[in-house]
Amino acid sequence: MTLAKTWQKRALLVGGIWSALHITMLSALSDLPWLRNVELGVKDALLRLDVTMKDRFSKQVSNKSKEAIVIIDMENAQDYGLERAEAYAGLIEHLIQSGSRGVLLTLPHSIANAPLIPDTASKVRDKLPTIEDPIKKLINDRKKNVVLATKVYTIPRGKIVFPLYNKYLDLGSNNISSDNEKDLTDIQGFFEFFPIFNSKNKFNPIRYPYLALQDFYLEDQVNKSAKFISSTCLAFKKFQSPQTESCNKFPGEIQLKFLDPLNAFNKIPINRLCNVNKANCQNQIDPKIKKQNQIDPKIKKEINGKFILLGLPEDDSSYFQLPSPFGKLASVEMQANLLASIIDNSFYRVLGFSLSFGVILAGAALIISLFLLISAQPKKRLLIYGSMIIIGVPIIYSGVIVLAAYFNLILPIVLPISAWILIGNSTIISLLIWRYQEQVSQQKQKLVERTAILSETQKLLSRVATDIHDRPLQELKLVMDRIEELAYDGAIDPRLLRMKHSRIESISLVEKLSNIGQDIRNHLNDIQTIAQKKWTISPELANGLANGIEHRLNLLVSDGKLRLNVTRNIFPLKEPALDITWINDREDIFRFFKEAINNVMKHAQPFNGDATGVTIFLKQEGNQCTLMVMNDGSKTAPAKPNGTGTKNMETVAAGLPNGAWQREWLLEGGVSVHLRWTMPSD
Amino acid sequence: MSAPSSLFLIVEDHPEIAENNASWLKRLNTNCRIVTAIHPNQAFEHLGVETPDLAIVDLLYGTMKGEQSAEPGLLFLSKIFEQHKTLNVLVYSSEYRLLAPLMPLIDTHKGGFAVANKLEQRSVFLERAKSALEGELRIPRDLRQQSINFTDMEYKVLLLLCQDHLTDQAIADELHISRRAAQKYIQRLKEKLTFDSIDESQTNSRIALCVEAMKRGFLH
Repeated sequence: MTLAKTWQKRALLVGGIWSALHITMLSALSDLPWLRNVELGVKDALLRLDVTMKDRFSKQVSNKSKEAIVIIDMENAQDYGLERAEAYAGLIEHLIQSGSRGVLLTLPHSIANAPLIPDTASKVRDKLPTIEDPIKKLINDRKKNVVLATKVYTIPRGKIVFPLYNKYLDLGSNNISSDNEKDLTDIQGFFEFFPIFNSKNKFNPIRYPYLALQDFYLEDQVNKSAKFISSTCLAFKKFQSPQTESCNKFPGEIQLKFLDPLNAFNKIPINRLCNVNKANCQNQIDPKIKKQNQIDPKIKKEINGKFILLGLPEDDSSYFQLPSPFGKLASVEMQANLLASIIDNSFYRVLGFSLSFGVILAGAALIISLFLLISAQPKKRLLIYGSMIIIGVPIIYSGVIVLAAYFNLILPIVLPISAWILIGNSTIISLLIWRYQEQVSQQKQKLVERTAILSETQKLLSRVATDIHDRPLQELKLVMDRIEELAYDGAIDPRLLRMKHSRIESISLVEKLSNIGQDIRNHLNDIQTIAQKKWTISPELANGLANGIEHRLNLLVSDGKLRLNVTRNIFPLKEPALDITWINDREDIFRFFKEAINNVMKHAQPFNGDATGVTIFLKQEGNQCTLMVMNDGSKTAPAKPNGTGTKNMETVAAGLPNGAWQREWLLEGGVSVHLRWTMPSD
Repeated sequence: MSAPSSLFLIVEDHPEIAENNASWLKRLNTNCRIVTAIHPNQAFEHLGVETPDLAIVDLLYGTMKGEQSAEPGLLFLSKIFEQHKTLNVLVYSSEYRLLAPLMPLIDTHKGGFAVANKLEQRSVFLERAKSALEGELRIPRDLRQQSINFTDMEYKVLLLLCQDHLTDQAIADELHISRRAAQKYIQRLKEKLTFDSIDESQTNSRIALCVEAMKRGFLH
């Protein structure tokens, strides 16, 4: 579409500049915590909606992943002595022996930080019975079935440090070498839900798990680094699919699919696994006792072939919860949801910064294009259609967001919608401002053209008046002189130089000619007055008739000319901005008002009158307008209320569309002057 | 016995009107001598040579552009008020309202000053010419606007007339002027207060004059 009018181009250009400013400003603001929280809240609601929809309508949620995962509920774990390494290792052994694929665990603080049970060498040296550390034994015996989730931490300079559990591994020494690094990285993986991985993602520091292979500095050897994989990915690789690449696909721009916790994973309470009275879980690693504790076939069935996720007891100091769309979840539940997503290879994809910015720009372009289409509409329609665009685009986008979520794509929400609303408002304001300026400019242009035409007409009128004065009037004077001479000298009977004036009166020819001459002269004066009149808009009327009247009243009151109590019922009129006829009529109506208020000051105001107040009323109802000036003086109607003022008022009323005026002497005293006319439509 | 010879200066650019002016002035004084100037500049030069008893001045004159202009006429009158303070002047024009800006000077001019509308009958012309010759001030009512300027002597006469209620003769005695001069001042006061009703009795017109002066704030 080609834009014919420059003002539309300008307005849209300004709208575009404002848009860029808004986007930049909002991008900067997106770091604000409250904005992040709003985005997070909206997205959580969206994800809950998506889960509900899929649960209800499409059954997209795979039971495969749900059934493949079992969480061991560690509540009241201390009742079973699980704070001790023997019991803890026994539980894991129990789970492995029950046929599970493997166990992903986070070592409780009480175990991870306990001193290692003296090793065989020291026992031999000290001639003590040989007792091997049960955790160390478990890890070495069950390397293929155990993964240790490890929480990393940062030290100054932003280094991320990976705590090593090398005390449990037979590494030969404490130092990591290329030979034994694989042993370590096959057992330990990093815990994925940690804010430090997500510093680039400004919206959601927690809900985006980090899965990619990552270099970490090693605890106690901070100058040395090693690559570790996410613990959940490591578990998946080790326990199911060693060749899987799914964990390496996503460089941190995925969002976990959470299952509704009420209907999520199978949880086996600890009391079903460990006998609380007699043989507790530690017996599972003692071959002598093992046979006495045959595994419950029912539990075995539940565990067999499953990924076992072992969390932390709630009373352990390492226990923590993380926020999710369904409220706070224990870290093990977060791992379960992540593992389910990996098994199904189904994540939400999140648009990166560039794509998000692209979405915002595309929306902004769409809004500006739509405004382009409606920019030529009248003001009222522009406002209606503009509002529809401003509201409609975000509504449509909201639908797109829901649809995209259904197809596992998470779109940015708060930033684009805020940006578009601001852009829409800016553009509509720009269009209105420019339209107004354009109207004013057109008005001025029309006035200039009209003034030029008037000027020519005025010159012509002036010339005609001058010519009549110079020739016919002078000739008339000579004729009058001649007739007067004849009468004066008695050359003609004076009675012959008279003509009938009325039924009973006669008038001399000279007197008659004098009257005619004077009439002509008066008309010529009127013509000259018109010819010399400057046709301009009264400055006080530039903002409308109501403003002009208010301004005039203020001036009269401040000058002390109007000393009555002034009651103002003055309402702005719907004036057609570009109607030149109305602009001229408005000048006349203003003149009418000035005449009326002058009359009040001259005749009704003390000392000439006894009025105490004057009411000014200006209102438009439909296209009918009324102007009224009313005083409360007691002056009675004059016998002959005529004069130049009255004539002027009549002239003004006659010139207006459906114009009529009326002066009433009120019974209760006072005079009211009404002027009514029809306002031309815009 | 014939009237003493008078000199009339006619300033008029329309030859036939000028001729008729002269013709009618002769009816005022058959022994008069008439000098006609077709432009104010020419008339002003003549004033340097001799002082007429009455100057009859038109206001509008044709310009080189073919239009009418009041500027030469008004300029000429201004020079008269400045340099010929006692000259009697009759402005004979249908555009006498153009004199408005000169009203303060007209009010303080010491010579007679009258205005006659060109479109009125010659009898008016003759009457106003006579008034001007007698040193009176005669201004059409519509020309007399808000500005009223009294000379010191006129103001003294107003006070003696309205506050002390003196007769013409008593005013003349008080101010050491002739009775006729006192009457002339009273006539000018009436003129300036736009109260020139000559039909009313002298007493009533004087009361009206004082009421008008009081209404306009000249008396307390």
